[in-house]
Amino acid sequence: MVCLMGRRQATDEASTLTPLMFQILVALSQGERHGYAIMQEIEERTGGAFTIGAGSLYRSIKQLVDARFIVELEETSPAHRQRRHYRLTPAGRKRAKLEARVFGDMVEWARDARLLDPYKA
Amino acid sequence: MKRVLRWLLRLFPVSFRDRYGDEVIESVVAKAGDSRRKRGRIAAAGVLVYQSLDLVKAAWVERTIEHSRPRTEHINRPRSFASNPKRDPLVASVWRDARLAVRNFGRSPGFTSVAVLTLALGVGANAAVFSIMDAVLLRPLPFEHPERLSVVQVNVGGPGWYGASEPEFIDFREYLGSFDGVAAYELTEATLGDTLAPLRLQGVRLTTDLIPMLGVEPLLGRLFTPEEDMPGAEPVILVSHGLWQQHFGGDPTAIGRTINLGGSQATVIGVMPEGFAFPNPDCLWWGPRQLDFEDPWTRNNHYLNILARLATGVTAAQAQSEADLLAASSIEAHPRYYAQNGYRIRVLSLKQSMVGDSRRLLLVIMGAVGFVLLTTCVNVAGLLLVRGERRRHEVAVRTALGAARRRVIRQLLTENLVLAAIGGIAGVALASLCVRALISAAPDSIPRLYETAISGRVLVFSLAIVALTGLVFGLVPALRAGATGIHETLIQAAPGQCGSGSLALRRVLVVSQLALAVLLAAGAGIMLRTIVNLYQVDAGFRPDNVVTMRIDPSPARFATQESRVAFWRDLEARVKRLPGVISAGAVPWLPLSASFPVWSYMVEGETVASIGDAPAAPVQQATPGYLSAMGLTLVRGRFFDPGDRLDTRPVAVINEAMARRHWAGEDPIGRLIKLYPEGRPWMEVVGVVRNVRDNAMDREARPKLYWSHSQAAAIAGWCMLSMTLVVRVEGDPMRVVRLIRASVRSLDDMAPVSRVTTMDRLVARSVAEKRFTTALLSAFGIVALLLACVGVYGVISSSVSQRKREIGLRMALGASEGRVVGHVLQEGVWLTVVGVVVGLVGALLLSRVFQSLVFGLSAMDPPTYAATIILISAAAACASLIPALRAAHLDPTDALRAE
Repeated sequence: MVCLMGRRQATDEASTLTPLMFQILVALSQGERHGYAIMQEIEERTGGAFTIGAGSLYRSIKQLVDARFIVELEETSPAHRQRRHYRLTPAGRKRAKLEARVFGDMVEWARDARLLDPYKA
Repeated sequence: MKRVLRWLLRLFPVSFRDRYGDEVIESVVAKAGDSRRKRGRIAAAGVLVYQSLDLVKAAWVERTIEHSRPRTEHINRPRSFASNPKRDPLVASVWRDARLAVRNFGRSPGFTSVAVLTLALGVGANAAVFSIMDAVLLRPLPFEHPERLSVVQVNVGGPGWYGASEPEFIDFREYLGSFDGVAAYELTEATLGDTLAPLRLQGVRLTTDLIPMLGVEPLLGRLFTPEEDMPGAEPVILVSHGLWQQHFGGDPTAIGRTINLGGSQATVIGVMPEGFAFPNPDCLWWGPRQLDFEDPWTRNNHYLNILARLATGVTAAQAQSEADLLAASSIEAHPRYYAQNGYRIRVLSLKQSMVGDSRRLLLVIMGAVGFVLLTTCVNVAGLLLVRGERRRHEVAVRTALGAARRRVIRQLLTENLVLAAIGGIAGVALASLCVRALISAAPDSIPRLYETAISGRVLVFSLAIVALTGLVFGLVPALRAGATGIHETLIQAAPGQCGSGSLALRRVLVVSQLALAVLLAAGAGIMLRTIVNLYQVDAGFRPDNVVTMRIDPSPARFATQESRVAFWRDLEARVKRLPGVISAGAVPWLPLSASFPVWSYMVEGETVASIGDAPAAPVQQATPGYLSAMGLTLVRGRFFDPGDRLDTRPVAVINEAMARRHWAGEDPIGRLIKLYPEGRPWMEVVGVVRNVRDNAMDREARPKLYWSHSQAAAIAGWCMLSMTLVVRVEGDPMRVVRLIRASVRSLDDMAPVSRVTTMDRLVARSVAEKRFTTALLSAFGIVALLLACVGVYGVISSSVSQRKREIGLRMALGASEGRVVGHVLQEGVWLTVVGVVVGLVGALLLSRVFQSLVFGLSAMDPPTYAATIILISAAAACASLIPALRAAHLDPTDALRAE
C-alpha cells in the first residue's frame, strides 16, 4: 500500500499519488470525515479489496496535510476528543480530479484491451 | 492491547506520534472491536496482528522519509528527537546499522525466515504459558492483604483435608488468637425467580464478617449487618455484577427490590464490583449463613469452609502451632468424636489452597515450555554462528578497510537485536493467539485461569532471553574477527567456510537439542499411554449413550417426603416411555462430578463406643432405574425395585469394596447395616454392585453404601428433592433432551433443568487435565524434534563443507560412495548417541516429578523410551543422510580444486 518513493514525496507535482492517498481524497470529496470513517469508507467502497492499516492511513493523511491537499478541522466532537475531522482543500480537489482522470484513462485502456468486463449495470 | 499499541507507536518519530498517536490507537481499537462484533474473536485477533505489522511498516517508511527530507522542512516544526537537525551521530549510525541489517536479512530470506520463525515459536509459546503461570501462581489475589488470608481445614479421619463443623468453627473464633478474624462460608445453589424460565444459580452463604475481611466494598448498596446474620432474620442478598447486569439490566434501583430465591423472597441490598469472584467466578450471589451459635449442629458434619486473616505480625507457622494446641485440647474435651481417628487442623494460605494440585501440572508445563525456549535459543544461536562464520570474511575485509573494531561489533549487535525484535513481535502476536487457545483447551480444574492476559512482565521476560541469546552468540564472530589477525582471517576464511572452533560449540548445542527432544518426546509418549490406560480402566459404569441433567423442583410445591418420592417416580416412568429411551434413573450425586457426602454407619454384630470409632463411607441415594441407566454391574442379589417403599423393610445395596471391608469371604446378602446416630432403622443388604470410580478414573473406589430414594425418609431422615436424572438412550443421547424437558415441565413447570451433559463428556472432563498436558507435551515434543533435526542437519552440512577437501581426497584415492556416506553418517550417529544418553539421564532425574501425573505405568516406561530413542535416532539419521549423500556425489576434482 505504501510506496517508497525514494527521496521524492508521493505528493509532489510530478509524482503519482499512492492508491491510499487517492482513496483518502476521494473519500473526503464527499464530505468531512474523521480518520476511522475514512478507513471504513475505503474498505466498504472497495468491497474489502483494500485492508487499511491505521499506521499507513495516518502517515498518508500527514503527507496530504503537509501538501495542503486536506486540512484538519479545528472543532472536535465532544464525545471523541481525539477524533479530528479532515476536509478536502480546493487544491486537493483539483489534484484528485486530475488523478481520477488519469486513472479513468487507464481503466478505459484496460477495457479496450479486453482486460475488463464491458460496462456492467 | 492499548499498551502494546502505544509501545509500537514509539517506533514513529515523536512529531508523528504527538500529532496522530491517539487517533491511530483509537482507529485500531475501533477496527478490532468492529470485526469482533461482525466476524468473531479470531478475525479480531487477525486484525490486530495486521494493524501491528502495518504500524511497524508505516513507522519504518516514515522514519526513512523523515531522514531523506531536506533539513529546511523542519525549521518551523517543534524541535524533537527525530527531527533535530543536530542529531546525535550515534543515533544516526545505529539507525543506519538497523537499516543495513534489514537489507542484509532481505538478502538471505532462508536464514531470516527460519530464525524469525524459531524465535516467534519460542517467545510465543513461552509468553503464553508464562502468562498463565503469572495469573495462576504469581499474581497476588485481588483482595486486601492477600498474604494474610488463610484457609483453615481439618481432618478427623479419612483421606484429605476438609472444612470444619459448626462447633469447630466456633472454637476457632474463640481460641485462635493468631487470627484477627475467622469467617465461614458454604457453597450452595438456589433457584432464582418463579417465572416459566427459572434459573439455577450458584451462590455462597457466609458469615457477615467475610467480605469486610477481603477488603472489598460493594459497587452499589451496602454489605450485611450483624443482625441480618441472626437465625430467622429476613433474607437479604448481595448480587454479582454479572447477575445485576443480566437480571436487573444494570438498573441502580435494583437495590431494595426483592427477588424469589430458593422459594423465599430475598431483598437485594447491594451489588458487588465487577471481577469480584469469591470463592470462584461461578458464584453469583452472597447471603448470610445465619448460623445459630447457641445451638450448633453436630461436630461431625464438616461442611463449613473457613477463611481467616492472620493478625498483623503473626506468621503462618505461629498460627499453625496454635491450631495444633487447639486440636490437642479438643481431642481431650470431645473424645466421643476424636478419640479414634484423631483431630488435626491445618492453616494454609488462601492462594496455596486455591492453586492446590494445579501447581504441579503448571510446573511441568512450564518446564516443558522452558525447554522449548532453551531449544529456540540454541537453534538461533546455531544459526547465528553459521552466519557469523560465513561473514568472517566480510568482517575481516571491513576491518582491513579501516573500520574500527567497535564499529564492526556494533553493527553485528544491531543486526542481532533487529532480528530479535522482529522475532519478538511475531512471537507476541503468536502468544496472544496461544493464550486464547490454552484457556479454551485447559481443564476447568485450573483456578484463576479467567484472569489470564498477556502481561508486560511476561513479554519483557521472553524478549530479554531471546535478545540475550542473540547478543551473546552474535558477538562471537565479531570478537573472533578482532582477536585473530586480519591477515590470517583473510587467508583462512574464504567465504562459505567454517572455523573448527565454532563447529565444536555447535556440536554441543545439537547434543543438548537432541537431549531435550528425547525428554519431551518421551514425556508426551508416557502421557499418551497414561490416557490410554485411563480410558481402559473399568470405571464401574458404562458412560456411552447416557445423558444426565440436574432437575430442581421447587421445595414449596413438593414439601412432603411422599410428594418428592412421587415426583421422581412419575418422572422416571414418563421419561422411560419416551421414544429411544432404554432406561432412566436418578441420583443426587453423579460419579466424576460431585463430592459424595460421607456418613458414619454401624454394621450388625460390630459394636462401637462412639461416632469417632464408627466406620464411614460415601453414600448415594438412587431410584430403581439408576442401575441400568448408569450401566452399573450387579454382582450379587438385586438392586432397588418399585416394591421398596416407605412402609416396607428398608434395604441397602453396597459395593464390592464395602463387602470386602466387612464380610470378606462371606455372603453379605441379608446382613444388616444402619446409619450412625441412634434411632435410625436397620437396612438389609439386598445386593452388591461393582465398584464405581466416583472421584477420578485413576483413583481406587472406596467402600460405598446405596439406599433407595423412596426409603430415604426413613433411613436418613429426608429424601433429596434436587437430583440428577440419568437416561440411557439408543443412539445420540442429546436427541431426547427436549422431550425430557417437556416431561419435567408437565410435572413441575417451575423446575429448572440445568447441567445437561453426557457421561462420555464427564469422563472426558475428568481426564481433561491429563489430555491437556499430553497435548502440550506432544506439541512441544514435535517442535523440539524438528528443531533438533534442523540442528543436526546444519552441523553435518557444515562439517561436510569444511571437510570437502578431505572427502575429495578419499574419493580420489578410491573410496566408494558407500564408504563416504558411512563416514559422514558416523558423525551424526555419535551426536545422536550422546544426545540420547544425556536425554535419558535427564529423564531419570525428572522422573520423580513426573510420576504423579502418570497412571498405570512407570515414569521410566521402557517401551516408551525405546520407541522415543528409535524415533529420535531415525529422525537424526534422516537429517544427516542428506548432507552425507551430497558428500558422496561430490566430484573429487571440484572438491580438490575448491581450496
